[in-house]
Amino acid sequence: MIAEKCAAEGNSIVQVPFEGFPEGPTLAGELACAFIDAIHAKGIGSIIRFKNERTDTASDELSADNDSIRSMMTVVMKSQPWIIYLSSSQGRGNIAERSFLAARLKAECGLQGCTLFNSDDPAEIERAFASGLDMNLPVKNRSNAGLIAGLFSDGRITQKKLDSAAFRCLRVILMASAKDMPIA
Amino acid sequence: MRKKRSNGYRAAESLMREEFLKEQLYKWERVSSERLNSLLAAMSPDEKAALCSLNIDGETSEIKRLDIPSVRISCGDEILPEFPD
Repeated sequence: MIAEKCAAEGNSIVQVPFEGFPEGPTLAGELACAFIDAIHAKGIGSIIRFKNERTDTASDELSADNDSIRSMMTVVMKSQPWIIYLSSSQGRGNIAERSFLAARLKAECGLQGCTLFNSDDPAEIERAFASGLDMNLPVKNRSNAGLIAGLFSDGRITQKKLDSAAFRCLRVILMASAKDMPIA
Repeated sequence: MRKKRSNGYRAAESLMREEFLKEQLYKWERVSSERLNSLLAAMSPDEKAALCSLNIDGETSEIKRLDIPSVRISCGDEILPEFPD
């Protein structure tokens, strides 16, 4: 039903309510996997949002194997959601933590999709791409594409990092536009 | 204090991850690396930057000359099912 609603509203990739599932990493992970597999079977992509309400960057909370992260890792390994949205409630901060989790999901769980982060701050966007995040969601600006291009032309985002991020983003976009090929 | 995991647990966990990955990776092969690399090689830095940035409505940029469509991504809380207590 959610996949049909998503398609009817023009979305190609729907958000899985990861935080709405019951407490307990195993059950939450299994429910999220079933949800994602059902969406993928309809040719719709999935996005999971991981919210971090903290505003400091010194916390090592995301480096710990806490329940929420273990559950997220299980979901990535089993169902490969297309996008992991590492959001900050205030639209800024926590770039180090968000980058760290993104790196773990890619290295330890084989994440094939892309990682999304929200921020309008040029310094944060530079750090995010430098540390391996792939796609930016603006908070107030219409788009930050020009800002990202400017950071590249100034040498603050390397060719390798831009190419790596664009590769992952392009793959998700092409998969989302090929609805005639169910993948489950 | 967290318990230290045994080597057996780690080995089993590692094997399980490998099996999961084998099962899942084929799904991503429907967009070939050759096609992706070919498109990326034809792109300017501005176009790559556009790919890496959603607009405020959660839409990707269309790149008409390379036939890359725009797709919309649900980034908000608008689609949430209700779960029973």
